[in-house]
Amino acid sequence: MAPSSASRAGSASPLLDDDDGAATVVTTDGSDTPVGEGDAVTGVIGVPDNVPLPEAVVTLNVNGRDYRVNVTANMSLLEALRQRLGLTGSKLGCDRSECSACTVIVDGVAMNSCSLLAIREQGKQIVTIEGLERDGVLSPVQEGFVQHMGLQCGFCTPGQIMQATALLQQNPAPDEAQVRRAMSGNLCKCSAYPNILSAIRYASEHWNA
Amino acid sequence: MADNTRSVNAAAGRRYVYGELINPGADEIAHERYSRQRQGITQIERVLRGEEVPRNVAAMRAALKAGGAPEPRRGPGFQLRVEPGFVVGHDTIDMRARDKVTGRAIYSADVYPPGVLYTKVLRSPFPHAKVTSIDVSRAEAHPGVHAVITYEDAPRSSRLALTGEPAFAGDPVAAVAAESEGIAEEAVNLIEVQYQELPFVLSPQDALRPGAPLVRSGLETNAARDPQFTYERGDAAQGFAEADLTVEVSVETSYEQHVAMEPHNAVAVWDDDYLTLYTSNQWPHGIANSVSGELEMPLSKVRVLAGDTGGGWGDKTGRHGYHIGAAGEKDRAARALRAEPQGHLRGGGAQLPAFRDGAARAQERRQHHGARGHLVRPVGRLRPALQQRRLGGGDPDVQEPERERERVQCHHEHCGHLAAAGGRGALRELLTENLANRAAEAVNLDPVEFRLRNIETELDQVDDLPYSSNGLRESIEHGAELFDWANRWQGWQRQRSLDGPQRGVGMMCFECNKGSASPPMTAIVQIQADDSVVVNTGAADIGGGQRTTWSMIVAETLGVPLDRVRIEAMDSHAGPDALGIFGSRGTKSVGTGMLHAAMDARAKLLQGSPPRGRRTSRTSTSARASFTASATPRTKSSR
Repeated sequence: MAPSSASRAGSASPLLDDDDGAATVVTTDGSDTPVGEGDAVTGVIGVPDNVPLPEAVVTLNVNGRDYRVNVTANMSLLEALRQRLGLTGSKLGCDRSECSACTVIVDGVAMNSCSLLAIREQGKQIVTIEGLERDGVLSPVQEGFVQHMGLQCGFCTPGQIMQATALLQQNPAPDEAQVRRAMSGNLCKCSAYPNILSAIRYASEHWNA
Repeated sequence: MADNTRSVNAAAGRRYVYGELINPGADEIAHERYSRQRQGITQIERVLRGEEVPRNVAAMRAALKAGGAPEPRRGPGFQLRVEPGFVVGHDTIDMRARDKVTGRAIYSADVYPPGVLYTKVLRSPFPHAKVTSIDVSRAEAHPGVHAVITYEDAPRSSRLALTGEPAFAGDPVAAVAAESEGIAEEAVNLIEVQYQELPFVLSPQDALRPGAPLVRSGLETNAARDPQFTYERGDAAQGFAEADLTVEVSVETSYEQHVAMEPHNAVAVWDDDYLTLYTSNQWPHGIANSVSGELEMPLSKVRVLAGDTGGGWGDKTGRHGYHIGAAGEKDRAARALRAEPQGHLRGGGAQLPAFRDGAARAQERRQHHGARGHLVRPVGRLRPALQQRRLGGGDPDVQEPERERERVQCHHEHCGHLAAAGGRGALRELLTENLANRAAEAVNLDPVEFRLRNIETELDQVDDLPYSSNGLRESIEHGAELFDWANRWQGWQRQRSLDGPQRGVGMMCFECNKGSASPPMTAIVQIQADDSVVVNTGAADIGGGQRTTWSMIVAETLGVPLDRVRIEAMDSHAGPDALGIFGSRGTKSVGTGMLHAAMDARAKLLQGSPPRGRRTSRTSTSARASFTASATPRTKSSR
């Protein structure tokens, strides 16, 4: 049973770890500043004082493709996906790891992309809702959500589907308690929950098909 | 056969009082004016004051008098069976589902115009305060900041725009537009504000007490109307005087918010002097109208549209401050994200006189509705409580007074529409059902039996018209049977055992008035040259499968496959105003408009002379013009 993505994303330090500092920080005035022990970047995240926000070019692997992305130091992975790559399928709901509408799969684990820093996600395999469909064929989870009407307004749906996909990748035949537990962090105000359970059951039955 | 004459006579005992706005703001005045033009509110007000009877009811009464009333249909009214049609009545997959599960569905916040700016708002940390100084110079000098505005720059008339006297914790004081969301957020933190904290009041009851802190300076009272809206029927005092005993309840709800999964947002794009506003909303025309008034622009130059919408629950019906804020920069597109929600506090008290024989002949109820009392609508579809039909009925001399809905301002967020759990109805249910149970207990009667003795099943006590069907008695009896009530009910205050977890049984009814059919119910149905169909409406699709349902109605009516119908909705310029998608009116009202428009188009098509070989030769159809029909059926409001 995987721990909830919310707790994992929430526990990530908002400050940069120096072991991720492979990128060169480019300030908006054009001068280059190497990322040192983290302080060059972390110093401006806390209290900005007319210091231009540093930007860095990072390589993000999204849905199997490498993208070189210009990100600011405080840009979340969700913002990078939506604003830089145009992948707007992942949704911004609460912006604080409560609703999980922004769930993406990072190295096989469902994570809340609103609470991950894009600059730290280099070298990881990121899968978003746009990466599930293959040659026009929906993934089993997507098909389950369509067939069992696991959605109404659809805003939480990409997050629900990514969470369920991560679950089934780890455990293709979860029992209902496991499904409920894994999905418990993904909120749906339309309350499509019973249908979401049916959709995941469908996906589980069709997982190897 | 019921004595239908009393349905006419009973009207004399009914009285509405509807108060005037106290200290109306510019926006309330504008809204009332708009409502009058748009919805004929003046007539509604006259009706509510008892000076006029609604047209349809008057016509129905006349018909009843002339032709004798129809025999009310008896039997289980809750069993509605519809024979499956060509499309309707068959399981159908939501037409939007595929786009939603692939992430292709575009919600308004997914629109990123080139060069778009990001706005952020500085909010008051205090529930009530006065800004004594504000310095934006550091924010303005911050690299990447495009503009900073404060309450001093904002239009005074603006309902939810910036204020120098914040009246709830979160009231916007200043706003920043910048190149990125991060920069805008930093700039907001660079604004230096000094506040003078002022006393505040958080509960509606406290707000009405003498000497309570006023919600904002210049008010005379925290009450929003004087007198409050009141509805009376019969002689309450007499009912209470005659009763053997009186039971009372009072309840307060906790703070309620809509919490749609998609946060409020708006993206404004200017093309010279033409404004396009992408915003997650329930009523494109309503927002366009309000924005055009605020910005003093013709409606032809304000276009409001939504993509797929991530839920609304009433909160996305009206225009908010962020709509104006996003439109503030004419030379750049701007986004306002995660903008302000609204909230509600409700409560009330009620009294019910009861008789030893288990009868209840009157009820008095007071409800209050608190928040920051910017009235979104004067009375709208306000109707006397539905519960009148359920308690105190069954007696020709039924007395059903109630006092309903005090609107009170206190230092909370703005109060708008709220759809949660039946809106106002939830509070009514809470009061009425508690009253019924307490009265039943007081006279030591089975609560199911108490209701069966007091429900009204023949006469609609609001419109004084006989029901065509009601089903209330059957519903209660059926529910009790399913629940095995007869065996499980042990009497009041009886417990089988004091060991282990306690488990009780109880009785409650919930009545839901779903699907108000109210004008305008408009749509344009265009049969294309290849027999596919395009439907235009301004109504929104807020995620309840509206476009699928509407497509089914049109496809059924015209006899075309579902996938050949396209609904163009959620655009104030592409379709006629069909009013908002609220009050559960999407299928019943907007759908009715589409049904009539489709029937009209069908009739026109059949009247015309189609080219020879239409059915066999596809190419010949191109000669045909498209047929356009629009219909605004003025059917009666049905319940």
